[in-house]
Amino acid sequence: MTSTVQEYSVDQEIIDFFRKTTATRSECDAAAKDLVGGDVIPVDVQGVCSYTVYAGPKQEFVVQFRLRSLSLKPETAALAREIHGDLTPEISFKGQIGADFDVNGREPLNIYVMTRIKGVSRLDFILAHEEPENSLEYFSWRKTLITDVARFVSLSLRVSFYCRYFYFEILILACLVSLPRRGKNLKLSISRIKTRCEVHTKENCNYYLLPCLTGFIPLSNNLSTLCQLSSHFQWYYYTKTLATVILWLTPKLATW
Amino acid sequence: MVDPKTCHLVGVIDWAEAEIGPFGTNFHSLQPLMSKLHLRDGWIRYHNYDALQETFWRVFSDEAGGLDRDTVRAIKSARVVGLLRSRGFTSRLANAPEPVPIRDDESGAYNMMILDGLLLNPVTSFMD
Repeated sequence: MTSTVQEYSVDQEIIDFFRKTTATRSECDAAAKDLVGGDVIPVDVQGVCSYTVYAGPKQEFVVQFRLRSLSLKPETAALAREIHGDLTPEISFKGQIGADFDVNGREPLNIYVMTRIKGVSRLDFILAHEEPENSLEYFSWRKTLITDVARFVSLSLRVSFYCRYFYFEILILACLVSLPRRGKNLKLSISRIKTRCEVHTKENCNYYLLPCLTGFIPLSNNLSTLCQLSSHFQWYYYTKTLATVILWLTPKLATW
Repeated sequence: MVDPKTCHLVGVIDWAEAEIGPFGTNFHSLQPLMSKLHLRDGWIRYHNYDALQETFWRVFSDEAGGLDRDTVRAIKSARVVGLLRSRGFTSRLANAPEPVPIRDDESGAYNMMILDGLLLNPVTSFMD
């Protein structure tokens, strides 16, 4: 058995995608034309869970057909737009295409119309420029982009919450322990985090582990200083995960 | 998405798998803007990596109205968790099987290289 590296083929990707669904490509193209008009042209890189085309008189829309099991959460897209404005597409749901049920497990598709963001993908930008990656031109382009990205992410900090770092360190430890061993290096970083976690857990964890495990969530002072979270739900979700992780980790750590 | 001439950010698309999480969980995805994976040599930083780091944190902190030490530390820890969640496990798509830790086999090798580069290799690791 040999495996060969295959070049990305957008046509093959599209054929593979339509094997998973009860809708056909021509139905989708017709639906896109009905919705926004203009020529229907598939985007260069297709996802494995969707078929995406440009359409509209000026190719100013993106129409995406997604497997129903992977439908978009409208509230996420709306929140992104609320925070980042025109830097994110406006998305509207336009119903379903394809039959509901199929004995072969094929699914219908959800249809979304989005405003098209002008510009090119970062990958296409790189492909279009032949300058060496450590040239002054690239230094300057990267600096431009990272500055814009820093502003972009700062917009979501204003509406976000963060947890105290020790919470993350326990999760990091859990992930590292679950991954294949990487010899000395990994052992070192695990023992370093472990020491830090032990300090943190001694200081803080006992206060909230019990209520989390029983599913009861009193908001005491101890708890609210633990994580600065923006909502009750999120606080519950993350502390509950953490409790599970610590319980799962405890026996594993003995072997490290 | 960027401007084809200036490389200014013009938009961010594909919010399908976006979810609400602790701030900084997605910061590992900034790494490809200042470094890259080389399939033979592993993770490599572009020569202006340090300047880009400095620019990012300065602009981000200014825009956020200043960040205290604990907040920065929490964000940087969240960045590691985000990387591990994204690269240390199999796919999290809603129609895929429950994610399990990757293995050091053919399908996990690419992700292992990324994790090795960003977490373990002292030259390229972003773990403080």
